Amino acid sequence: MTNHRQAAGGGRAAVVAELRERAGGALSPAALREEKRFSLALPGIDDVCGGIPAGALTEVVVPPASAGSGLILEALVELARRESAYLALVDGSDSFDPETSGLERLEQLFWVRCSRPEQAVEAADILLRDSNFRFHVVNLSHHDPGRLRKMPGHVWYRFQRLAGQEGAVVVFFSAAASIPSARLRLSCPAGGGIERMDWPRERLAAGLRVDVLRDHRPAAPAKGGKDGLLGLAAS
Amino acid sequence: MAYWVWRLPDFGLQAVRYADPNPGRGPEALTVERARRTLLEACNEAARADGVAPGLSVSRALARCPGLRLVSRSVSAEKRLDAWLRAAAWRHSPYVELTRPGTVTLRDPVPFLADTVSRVPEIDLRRGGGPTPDLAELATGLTRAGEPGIRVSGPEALDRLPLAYLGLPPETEAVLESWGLRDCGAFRRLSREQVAGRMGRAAAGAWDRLSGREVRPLRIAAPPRRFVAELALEYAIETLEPLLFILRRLFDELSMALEGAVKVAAAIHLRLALENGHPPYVRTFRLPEPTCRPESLLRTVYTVLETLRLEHRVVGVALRIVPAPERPRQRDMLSTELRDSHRFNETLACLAALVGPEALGTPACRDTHRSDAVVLRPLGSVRPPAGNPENRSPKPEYRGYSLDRFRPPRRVSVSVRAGRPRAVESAFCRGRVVAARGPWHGSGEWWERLRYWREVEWDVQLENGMLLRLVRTGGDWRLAGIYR
Repeated sequence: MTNHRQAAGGGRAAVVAELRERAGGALSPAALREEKRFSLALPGIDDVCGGIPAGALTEVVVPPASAGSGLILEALVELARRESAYLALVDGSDSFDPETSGLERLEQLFWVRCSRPEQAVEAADILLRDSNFRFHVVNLSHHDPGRLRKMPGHVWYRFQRLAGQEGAVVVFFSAAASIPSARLRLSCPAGGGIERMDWPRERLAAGLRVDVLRDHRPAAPAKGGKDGLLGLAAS
Repeated sequence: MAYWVWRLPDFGLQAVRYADPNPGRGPEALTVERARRTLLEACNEAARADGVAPGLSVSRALARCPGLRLVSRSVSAEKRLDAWLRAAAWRHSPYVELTRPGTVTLRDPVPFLADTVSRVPEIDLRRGGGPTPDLAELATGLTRAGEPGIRVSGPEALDRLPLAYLGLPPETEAVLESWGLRDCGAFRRLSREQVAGRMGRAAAGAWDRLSGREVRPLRIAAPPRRFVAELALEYAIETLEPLLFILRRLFDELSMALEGAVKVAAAIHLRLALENGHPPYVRTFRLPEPTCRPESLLRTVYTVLETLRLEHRVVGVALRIVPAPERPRQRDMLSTELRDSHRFNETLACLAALVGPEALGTPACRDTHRSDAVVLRPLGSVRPPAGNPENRSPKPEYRGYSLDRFRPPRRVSVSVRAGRPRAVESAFCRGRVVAARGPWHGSGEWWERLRYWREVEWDVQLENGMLLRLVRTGGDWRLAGIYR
């Protein structure tokens, strides 16, 4: 009996080794568990969700009368500068304004000025395959969410896979929740009064509060259970 | 002083295989026309295992090995393979003799770089080393396909080598075999005077080479000063795949030649000759960062060829590399640099095709008060201010939310009372203005009639909470953007 068990164990190990060789990391959720989140130095985001995840998509919903998306973009560019990395800004409606962006130094920023959402998605697809960029921002907030929802779902899941491969931080700005594969979804609050236009950026950043609409943390392995999607990670 | 000889056995056959994108793995033989008969000039190991040997007629060879693949000699393929061998040799030593097609002799080379043959696994390169060039060449006979090179210390190490490797006249070899002498050891033990007296100068010369008494001077060849590789095709190419195969071969060769000359490629000139004498396709590729990696060189060309459509088929390929001196530089730990500039160059090309080259880059603000005065510069060209950060001017304080601009500004109808906006109506938004800040007057470039500008800006808050920037130019109101 013991011999049978040993033989069965050996056979299972051989099958697992072969599957791992064929499927690579697809069957191992190790990458999911080792999620890294970058602090944006924005208390309203860092305190509620621990920052922006690397290797996953983040969607920031920007309703028309909201405020704060510029502060998040500014924080992302500063984060890229701290990390000595480049940030690709795919500007879906050519709306980024460097003058009022609050960014003293823009040398880390690569700006792609698009006019249509399809063009922006295609540009993001190209940039996500380039390992020179670890941070990506795709601004689709001026486009009709209906057009984004009409895009094939596999586009967003491909982005998710590309972000996971490169460990990139990918943030989409959209007018309404549109990206099904977003791991973290935030919503900017309604803008304050016009008197806030006199407030320093630091004060605005400190007071920014976002709503967390979704935060899919990778599940921890079940106690005593098999590890991984097919029970292969612990083998 | 150490000598190494690199030899490509069955050179003609290997050259044909080198030029073939899908070389076979079965028995193969090279045919040659002699006295109106087609004979085998060379064959591979698989054919030899079936009893095929050089000198056999085609019919006999096919009788012994029905699956034998017959190929004809290709002069252009031999030139290409010989060029590869030379480039590989110069990569290892500046003292290279081009002994004969398919054979080179190197003096004091660096240890063999494995990637030389790993790039072309189908090539069978035999390497032999010894105290003299002749012994080194004979030592190549001791190695087999895929084995590392063998270095012999003296003629004794070659005693088991068959006589065929000495290059004796056939009749002399037949006489020696009739005496029962079958290897170099037995031949070397004969007296030189007797060999010279009975068998002539050719045999005496072979005995001298085997004994290692003389070190013949090498005829050192000068390495190439121009890095050119070209191939006239014996067939026309219609698709990208075979063209890429040829380019890969040419880039491998040029890359090794560049390495041998301690240079890198700064630009690539590609010329594709088209059939029926049509004007060739010519293109120059500037490399973002000089390199001699064949993968990077090929990728640069591939990006363009991938979308290229030619009216006529390709019958020739020529590449010329513009070399640049290799300048190793240390990476800066404090500033951001591209990890892979060649990859970025490809990305840039793809994005430029998508949105136009004018829509890409790092933004920089122009020195003017005019709104939206932004220029785009190439990524990496904008450098952070140098010097001690403590000595720099203080960071300007930004106030309020940043603006999402509408480019161009949108038409808007604005109701004004007592000089202040009271209501806004446009396709984007409409509503009563609950608060407004302004006016902010701006003008500039009055000294140039065509560039003169003058405008008045207002920040307004609508009753739905939207914060807008309005601009009045003359009597026209425009919506410049929305604060977010």
